[in-house]
Amino acid sequence: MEFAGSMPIERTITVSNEQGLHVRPARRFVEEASRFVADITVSKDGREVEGKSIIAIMTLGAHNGSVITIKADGPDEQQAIEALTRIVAADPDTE
Amino acid sequence: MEVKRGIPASPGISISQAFVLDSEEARIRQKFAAESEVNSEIEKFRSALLAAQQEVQNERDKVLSAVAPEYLAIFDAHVAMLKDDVLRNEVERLISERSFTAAYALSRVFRTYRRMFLNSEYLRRSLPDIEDMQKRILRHILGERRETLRDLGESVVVVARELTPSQTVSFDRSHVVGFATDAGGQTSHAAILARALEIPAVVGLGNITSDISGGDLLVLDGNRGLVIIDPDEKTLESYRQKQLVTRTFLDSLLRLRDQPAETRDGATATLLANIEFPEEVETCLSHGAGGIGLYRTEFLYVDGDTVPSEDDHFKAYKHAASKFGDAPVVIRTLDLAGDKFFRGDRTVAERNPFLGCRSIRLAFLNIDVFKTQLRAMLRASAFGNVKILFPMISCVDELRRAKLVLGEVMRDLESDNLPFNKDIEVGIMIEVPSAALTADILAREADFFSIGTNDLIQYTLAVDRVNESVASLYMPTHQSILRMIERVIQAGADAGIDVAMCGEMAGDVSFTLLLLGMGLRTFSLSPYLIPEIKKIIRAVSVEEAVAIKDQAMNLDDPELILEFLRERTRDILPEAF
Repeated sequence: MEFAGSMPIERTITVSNEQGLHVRPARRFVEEASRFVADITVSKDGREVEGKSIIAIMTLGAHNGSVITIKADGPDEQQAIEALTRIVAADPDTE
Repeated sequence: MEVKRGIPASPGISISQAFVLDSEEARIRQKFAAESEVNSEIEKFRSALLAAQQEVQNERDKVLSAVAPEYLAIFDAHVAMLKDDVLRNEVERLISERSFTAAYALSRVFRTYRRMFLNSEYLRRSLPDIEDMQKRILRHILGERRETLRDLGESVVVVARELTPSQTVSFDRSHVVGFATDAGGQTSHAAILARALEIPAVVGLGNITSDISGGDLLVLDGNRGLVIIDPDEKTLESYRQKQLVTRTFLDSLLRLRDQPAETRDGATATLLANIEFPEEVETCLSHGAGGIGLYRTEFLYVDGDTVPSEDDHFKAYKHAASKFGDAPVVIRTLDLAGDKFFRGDRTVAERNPFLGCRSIRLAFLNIDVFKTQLRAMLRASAFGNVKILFPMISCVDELRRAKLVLGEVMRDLESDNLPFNKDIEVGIMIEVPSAALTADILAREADFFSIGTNDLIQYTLAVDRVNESVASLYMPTHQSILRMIERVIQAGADAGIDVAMCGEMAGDVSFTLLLLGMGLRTFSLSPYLIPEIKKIIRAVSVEEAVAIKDQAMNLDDPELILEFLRERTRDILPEAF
C-alpha cells in the first residue's frame, strides 16, 4: 500500500545471527514483517525481494556476515525497520 | 532447445519425457492445459496448497509434545512456505499466461528456486526443505492418479541428482528408458549398472535437475554424453534416425547370441561376463555369456552400513551359480580400498592408498570378514561351477596365505556338515607388475589367471588415470603392458592353466585381434559388449590375428600401435567404430 507524502525508509545492516536467514530465521523474519502494514523489501548484492515471502527471503542466501538492506514504506515503517533489525541480529534458538 | 553436456555413462539414445526424481517423485503427464481448463488448474493448485498446509499442520500437532521447540519451528517454516504469496502468484501466473498445467507450472517455479539453492553453498543445506514442499504440493495436485517410479504408465527418462545402485536396479525397465544425473562418473556404480542393464545414461551433468521440469521432452544421447531439453523438430528427427540405426545394429549383434565365438580357422574363445550385481545375471544370459568371469562382490560391502552376513553373500552367489549350471562363475573376494571399508571403523589415513592396505591385504587384516565371504562362496559351490579369484596377489606367499585361510574354512564347513565342492578352482588376478613378471612361478600354485588390465596399466606406468593432468599417459598399448600380457598368457599355456582377461582391454574391440594373436582364449567383459567382440572373433583367423599382433609389437610408438589396431579392426568390422 502507498503511504502518501512520505519516502520509504531503509536501513543497511550486517546479518549477525549465527545461522543467517535460512529456513527458520527466515520464517521468523517473514512472520514479523507480515505484522506491519508497510510494504517491505529486502535486498542483498543488488537483488531486491519481497520481505513478506519466506521463499524469496531464503533465496537471498543471507548468511551470517552478509550485508542486507531492509526497506519499509508505509505508516508503520519505522517500527517495522526496528523490529526486523532485531530479528536479523538475534539467534532464534536462544531467544 | 537447450543442450547439456555431461559424461557418457551408458551408450544408446532415448527420446522421452523427463521424470524428475528428487524433487517430484511422480510423473508429470501433461505440460499444457486447454484454455478451458485454466481456471480449474488454478483451483487445483489452490486446493493442493491448502491440503498441503493442513497436512504439515497435522504432522506438527502429532509431534507437538514430543519434540523441542526448534523442531516445531521447522514445521512452522514449512507452513509459511506453503502460504507464501510470491510462490502462489508465480505459479498462478504461469498457469494463466502460458496455459501450463498446475503440476508443470509448479515444477517450473520450483526449478528456479532449486537452481538458486544449488548455486549457494549456504543455501544448499536447505534444499531438502524446498524439495519437500514441492513434492507435497505435487502429490496433492496429482492426487490418486499419480504415477511413481514403480508404477509408470509411459516411458520416461529419470533425472536425479544421484542414483544409488539399488535405485537403479529397482527401475521398471519397460518404462525407464534412460537416466541423467547431476553427479557421478563413468565408474560410479550407477553408471556400471546402467551399462549392464543397457539403459542409456549420462552422468556428471552439473545441475541438470534444476534445468529440467517433469514432463519436458528430452533426447538423451548416451554415446556422446548429451541431454537435449525440448529438442526442435530437426534435432528430434535426426535422433530418431540414429536410434533406428543403432537398434538395427544391436539386433544384428544379438542374433549372434547362440553362435559360438569361433575364429574362421576353428579356434574357440570363451566369452564370459563381468558383473557386479546379482540382477545382471539375466543380461549375461540374454547376451550369450559363457559364464561369469568376474563377479565383483564389493557392492555387498559398499551399499549398506553394516558388514554383510554370510547369508547375504550366499544368496547373491547361489543365484548366479545355479543360473549358469556347468558354466563357470568366477567370484572375486573383496577388492576394496582401505578407506571404503566399513565406514567409520578404524580407518587409517594412508599416504598412498593404491600402494597401501587394500584388497587381499585388507582381507588378511580382517580375517573374520574374509572367512565369512569364503564360507559363502564355498557353500554356493554346491549349486554350480563356482571358482574363487583372489585379487591383487603380488607374490607367491600371499597366494599361499589365502589358500591356507580357504583350507581352514573348508574344514569348518566339513565339521558343520555343509556341502561344497572340495575341488573348487582357485585363481588369482594378475594386476600387479610383480605378479605378471613372475607368472611362471605363480602358475605352479594357481588353478587359473585373470589379467586385470586396469590396475596393471596403472601400476606399471605409474599413472592414475582419474588424475586429469596425467591421464594421457595411461596407455594400454604401451609395450611394457603388451609384453607383460603376452608373458602371462605364455606362462599359463606352459603350465597348462587357463588365462582369462577381465580388465577393460578384454571388452575393447580395438584389442581383440591383438589378444587373440597373443593366444588369449578367455575374455571376460561387460555382457553387453559380448556380441560385438564375438563378431570380430568370428570374422578373423588365428593366423591373421598372430600376424597383426607381430606387426603391432614391432611398432615403437604406443599411439601408433593403437591406431594400427583400430585400422585392422575397422577392416574386419567396419561398423565397430
